[in-house]
Amino acid sequence: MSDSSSGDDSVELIVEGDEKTVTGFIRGLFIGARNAQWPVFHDERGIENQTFAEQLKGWVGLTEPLTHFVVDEDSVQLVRASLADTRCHGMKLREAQPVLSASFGFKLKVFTEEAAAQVRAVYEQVPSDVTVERWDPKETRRDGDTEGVELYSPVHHYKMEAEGIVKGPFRHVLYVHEQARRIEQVDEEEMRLVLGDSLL
Amino acid sequence: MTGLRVVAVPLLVLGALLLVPDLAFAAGDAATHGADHVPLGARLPIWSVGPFAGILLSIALFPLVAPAFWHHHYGKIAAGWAVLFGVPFLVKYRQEAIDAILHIYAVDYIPFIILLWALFTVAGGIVVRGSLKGSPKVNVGLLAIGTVLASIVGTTGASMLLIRPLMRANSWRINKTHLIVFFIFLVSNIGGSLTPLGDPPLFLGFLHSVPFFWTLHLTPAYLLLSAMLLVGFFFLDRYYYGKEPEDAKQAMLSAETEKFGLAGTHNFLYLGGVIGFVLFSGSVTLGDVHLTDHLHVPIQNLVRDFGLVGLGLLSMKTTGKALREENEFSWGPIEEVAYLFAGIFMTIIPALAILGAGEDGELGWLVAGVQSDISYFWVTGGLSSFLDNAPTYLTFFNTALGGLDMSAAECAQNASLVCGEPEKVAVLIEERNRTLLAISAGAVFMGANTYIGNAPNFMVKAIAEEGGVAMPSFFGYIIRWSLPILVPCFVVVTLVFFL
Repeated sequence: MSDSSSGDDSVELIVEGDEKTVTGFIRGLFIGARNAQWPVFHDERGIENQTFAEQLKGWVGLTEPLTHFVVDEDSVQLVRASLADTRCHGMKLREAQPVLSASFGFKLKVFTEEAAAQVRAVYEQVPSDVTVERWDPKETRRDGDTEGVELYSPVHHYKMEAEGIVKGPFRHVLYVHEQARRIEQVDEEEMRLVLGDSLL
Repeated sequence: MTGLRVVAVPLLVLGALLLVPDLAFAAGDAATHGADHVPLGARLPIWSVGPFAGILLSIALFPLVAPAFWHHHYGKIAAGWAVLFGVPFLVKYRQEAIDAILHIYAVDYIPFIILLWALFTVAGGIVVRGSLKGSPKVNVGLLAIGTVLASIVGTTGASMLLIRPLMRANSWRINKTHLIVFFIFLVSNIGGSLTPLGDPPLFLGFLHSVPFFWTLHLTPAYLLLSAMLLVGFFFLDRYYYGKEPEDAKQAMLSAETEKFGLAGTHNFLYLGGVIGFVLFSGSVTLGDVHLTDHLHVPIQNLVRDFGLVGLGLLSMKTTGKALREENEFSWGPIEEVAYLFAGIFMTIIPALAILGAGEDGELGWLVAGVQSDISYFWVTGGLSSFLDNAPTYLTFFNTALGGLDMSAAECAQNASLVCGEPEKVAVLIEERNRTLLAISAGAVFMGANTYIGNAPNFMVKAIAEEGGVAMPSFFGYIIRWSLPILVPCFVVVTLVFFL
C-alpha cells in the first residue's frame, strides 16, 4: 500500500541476499556505527513480511531471498552507502519506503480478573497518538457456584473477551504489539505497515 | 460435607435397592426372570441402548455447546437418562431388572466411586511446593514424574498434584500451550495405563476379574509411547524456549526460587493403604456375602471398600484445611463423577447385556465386526476419544467376552458348568491376551485425543486457562495437537504391538 502523506521517521528497507548474512551484516553495521537506534527485523517482531508469491519465488529460486527491516530515517544513508560499497558482495538494497503508519488486529479471551487488568493496561494505556478501534471488552461473571475446578462441567467464574485494531505511528504501535505478544492469551495478528513512495 | 455425601449417597441407594426385591416378589410371579432361559441380552431391543448413547453424548456435547446450562443441570440430565431407561426396564423385566441394577451398582458403581473418592481425597492432601525453573530439561522431568505418578494416584490425582507446579515453573514464559497439551497427553491419560488405580477403565476391568498386575502387560506400549512423546516434547519445548525473550529468560535464571518440597506427606501412607486394599481384594478369597438371591458380593471386596472409605476419612481428619486450600482442593470434580456415573451405570446395563450375549444379541454385528486386535485398539480408542473412556472400555470388554465361544473346550477346562465372568475373563486373557491389551490401551491412550476423552482433560484445560495459558479450542486441540502428534504415535504402537 502506498501513501504520500508523512508518517514518523521510520523507513522500511528490503535487502536482497542470504537472510542470515544480511541480518548479521546490518546488525554489525549498527554496532560498528554506534547507532543508538536498532533495526527492527520483520521476522523477529511479528511484522507482515513478503507476500506468499514473493516467498514462493524465493523458495523455488526465482528470486534471491529478501530481508525486510525498519530503521530510523537517519540510518537509511548508512545502510545504503554500505551496501553500495563494492566490497559488499551478494547483498543489494531493493527498496526503501517511509513507514507512514502501522496497525494490527487482535482478539483475546482471559479467565481471571488479574489477567483482564493486565490486558486492559496494554490496550487502555496506549501512547496518545495510537488508537484502539472496536475495543469493547465483554465481561462475564458467574455466581459463586462456579468456585473451584470441575471435571465434566467446567465453567469459568470470570471471562473477558475482546477484539480490536491498534493503529498509529510505527514505533508506538510496535511498542503496543510487543506488550501484547507477551500475553499468551492475546491472539495478535502480524503488524501491517502503510508505506510511502519509494526513496530510491 | 460433600465429600462424605459422595460416598454415602451410593451406599444409601444400594441399601434402598436391596429392599426392593422382596417387594417385587410380593407383587406376584409376573416377573419374567430367566424367561425361556434366554439371556436378558438376547431379548433386549437395540433401542434400549438409546439412553446410554444419550448420556454419553450429553457429556461430550453439552460442555461445548451449552456450558452454563450443563454446569447447572448435569445431575438432572444424567438422572433423566437413567429414569428414561430404568423405569420401562423395571416395568417390563421386574426381578431381572432389579437384579441387573443391583448388580451394576454393587459390583461396579459403588466400588468405582469409592476408589476414585479415596484416591482424590488422599492425593488432594499432598501439596507440591516451591518453584522450579521451567527449562526444557526440568519440564521433561516433571512430565516424566507425572507419567509415573499417574499409575499410582490416578490420572486425576496426578493432574491435580502437578499441573500447578508445572505452571509455576513456567510462569515466566509466553509460549506455554504445548506444556499443557503434553501434560494432558502424558499425565492425564497415558501415564495411567500401568495399574487399575491409574485410569477408571482399568479399575473397571479389575472389578470384572482382570488381575491387578495384568495391566503391567501394557508396560512396553506405555514405555514406547511415553518415550516418543517425551522426546518429541523435549525438542518442541527447546524450540519454544529459544523463542522466549532473552530478558525474561535471564530474569528467570537469576531469580530466587522457593525451595521445592512436599507437604501432607503422611497421605503417602494412606496411598500405600489404598494400593494395599485394592491388591488385597484381588488376591484373597474370603467367601461371599449374599445380599439377595442373585447378588453375591465377595467379602474381600467389602473389606476393600470399607478400608478405602476409612483411609479417605483418615486423610480428611489428619490433613489440615490450609493444606487442601493451598491445593485449591474442592469436592466439585468427584461430585460430578458420582452424579454422572450413577446415570452412566444405569443406562449401560442394556449395552453390556446385549454385547454379553454375543452374536445372539442385537449388537451381534458389532461383536462379529470387531475381531482383530487392531480394530479393537482403534475402535475402542476412537470411541474413547469422544465418549468417556470408562464406559467405552466396559462396552468393548464385554464385546470381546461376547465373542468368546464358551461352549467350547475352554469352559470345560475351567471345570465350571456355568461359565461366569471370571472364567470368561481367564479364557480371554489366556487365548486373546492381545485383544484385552488392545482394548485397554485404546481406552487409556486415546482418551488423550480430545478434551472430552478422559475426565481430567477438561479440568487441566480450565486450570491452565485461569493461569493465563491460551488453550486451543475443542477442534483446535484435535487438529493442531492430537492428530499430528498423537495419532502417528498410535500408528507406531499399532505396528509394534497389534499388527
